[in-house]
Amino acid sequence: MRAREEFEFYVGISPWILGFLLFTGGPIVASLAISFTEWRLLSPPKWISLQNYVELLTRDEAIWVSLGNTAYYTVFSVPLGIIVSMCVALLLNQKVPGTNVFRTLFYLPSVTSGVAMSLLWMWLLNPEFGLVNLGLSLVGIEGPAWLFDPTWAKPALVLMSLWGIGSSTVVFLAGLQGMPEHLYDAAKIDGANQWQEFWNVTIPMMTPTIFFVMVTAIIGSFQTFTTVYVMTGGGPGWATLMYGLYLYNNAFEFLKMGYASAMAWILFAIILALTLLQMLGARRWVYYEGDVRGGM
Amino acid sequence: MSGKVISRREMLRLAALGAVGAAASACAPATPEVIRETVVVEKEVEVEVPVQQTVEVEVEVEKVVTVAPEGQEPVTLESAIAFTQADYGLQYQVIEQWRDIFQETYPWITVNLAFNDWTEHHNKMLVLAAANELPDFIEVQASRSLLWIINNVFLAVDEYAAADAQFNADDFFEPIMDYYRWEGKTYAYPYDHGPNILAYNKTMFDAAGEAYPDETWTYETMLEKALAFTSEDTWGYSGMPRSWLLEPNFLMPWGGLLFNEDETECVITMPESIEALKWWLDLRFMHEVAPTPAQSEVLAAAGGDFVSGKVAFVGAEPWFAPTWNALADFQWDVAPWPTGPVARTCAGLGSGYGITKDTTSPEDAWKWLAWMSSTEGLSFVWAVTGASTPPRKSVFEVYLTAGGVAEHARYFYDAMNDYMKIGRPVSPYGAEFTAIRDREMDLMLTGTKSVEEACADMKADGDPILAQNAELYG
Repeated sequence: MRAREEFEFYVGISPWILGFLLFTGGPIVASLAISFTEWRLLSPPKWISLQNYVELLTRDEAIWVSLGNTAYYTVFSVPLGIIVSMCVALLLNQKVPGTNVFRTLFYLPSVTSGVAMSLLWMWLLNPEFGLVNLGLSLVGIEGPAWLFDPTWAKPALVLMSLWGIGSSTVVFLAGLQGMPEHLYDAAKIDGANQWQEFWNVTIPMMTPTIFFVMVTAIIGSFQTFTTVYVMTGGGPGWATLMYGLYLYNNAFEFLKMGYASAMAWILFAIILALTLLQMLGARRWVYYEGDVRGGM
Repeated sequence: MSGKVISRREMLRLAALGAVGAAASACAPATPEVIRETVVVEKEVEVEVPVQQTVEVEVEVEKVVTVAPEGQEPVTLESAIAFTQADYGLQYQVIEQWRDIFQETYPWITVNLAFNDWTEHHNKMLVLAAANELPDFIEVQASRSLLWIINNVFLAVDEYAAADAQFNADDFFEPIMDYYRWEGKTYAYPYDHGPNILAYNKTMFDAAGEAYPDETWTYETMLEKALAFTSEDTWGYSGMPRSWLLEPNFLMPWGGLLFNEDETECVITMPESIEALKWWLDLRFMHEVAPTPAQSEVLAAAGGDFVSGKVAFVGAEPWFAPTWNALADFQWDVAPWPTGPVARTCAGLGSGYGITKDTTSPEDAWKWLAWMSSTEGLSFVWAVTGASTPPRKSVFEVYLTAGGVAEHARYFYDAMNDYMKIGRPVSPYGAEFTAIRDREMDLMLTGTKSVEEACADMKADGDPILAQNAELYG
């Protein structure tokens, strides 16, 4: 019986395994090898050992600019996205008429093409005719030039990132709907009000979901590309030059494929380190049903 | 201006050109035998993206068939060509027709055409180069050609051109050939090349009772007229210093430069360049005669600054004509780029064709290259469609009579012949420098940095990149 289950498991997973080995595994290994070369595509690669990594970490100003921009975007967009999507999920979890319509509406942007979304937001953020500044003007605030101002371009992208909270909202909604009712009943018996229920029951029970959303959102934000490629090209003045865009520029504009590969591996190391740090930290604040605090 | 349609009359004129071309090719030295017969080729093509155009083709050609040398094996040439959306797909259909006539002329040669959109062409060729799978014949953008040449992608074609009595290599506008030569050898030939000169909204000039721009215009005239046309929702001029236009259109008229001669140093900090940039920035910040980027973003919804009908004059290349004819609801024309305090100069850019060095049939690839970039080929494929200005002087008259070209399109010829310069960078490390240039131009044009500060930073960060060109050149 066990052997049959194992067989079925491997048969079931084989399409993904084969796809990974054939189409992803090879390029991953190749990119590691390429990262130790100088390869301008038009001529054969030349082995240069760790030179790309040394240059990347010590001599390239744009790397640090792009990492700074990406970190800024991550630090602001991820927590903001989690808070807003959690709030939206709480609202969508209410048993009121029309909830399904709102759930659909909030998820719609997540299935919209990144390019279309970017173009839409270019209009919304237009300093002179955009709806964002129109809204601000109604409350007496003169809106900034957003994407045309080096100071405001990154905040504009953070603001825009909220448009894509549909996916995390759905995940939070699923978590909320799987919440055991008996915990709320017990809290009510103990005299807890709504806020205390939320803080002492909902939040702790949702921490695995929050953890999952946080990890995936941080990975996603470090790979931001489409929006800046379409909306700003990294400008004005490199204010929105994200790591992913700079990597692309190195590969296909500057023809430094070896250098771009090294950048990709550095990005992988950064994301891996951040994820491991989060997993270590998770032991302190993520609760799994049946666990005691601090235990797994 | 009317939509671009190739009339029966124009196509009949092509018939003659086709015949001449075929006959000319038949006279090539390697031709052992020629069979002639007259045929009629009829084709009708309808294109509906996004404006419907009917291309009626009725070509009476003297069909010339070159009999293959004894023992000649069939040859297949792979050919990668890019096209833009500006001509709505018309161009590739015409190229196919010209290819068909070539194959009839040289029956042992089959040319497989692969068409790429311009936005993808360069990257596709890079990937093919990396995989050692480049086609025998590829199109290359002028600004990128030196990179490909230095990396030994192309075959030098001077010997083939010299041996081909029918191929007139001296007919090309000389400034254009600088893009395709390296260390005294020629690696590609252009098929189109357009200078950036002044385009103006005739309807706005008529309504304002202003005389049209002409050879007498200087930058002072330009400013004076731009002020006259600027009101609450109209602007006199659009187009700030940028891109490949920066040096020829915006700096050189003041005597300024962006690079030294071999692009190993950025010289934008020279006083003439600073003075020029300040003049241009004053157009935006002091005189406010040009739309801001935010305003241009809105005008883009109406087809762009110029097509919106809100801007009196702009810099433009000839390949804008099909789009403007299709979208603009006003009359427009072109004029010389204004004269600066020191000189009249403008940028020009285009593309060419080259034979890749690993082709197994260089002689036949040359036949195809010569066929495509010959006077007859450029007339058939390019000039008669009015899609872009031809790089050969002898073809210009055909272009000038094409449907849809500007009334004073001859000013393009004057620019190409007299004052057009290369739009730099073209060096292998130019793209990396461009990232620095654009960063500083952004900061300058948003008022974040002064002209002096931005130029100093451009030089400081750009020079180490450009110095690598010197290492490459040896």
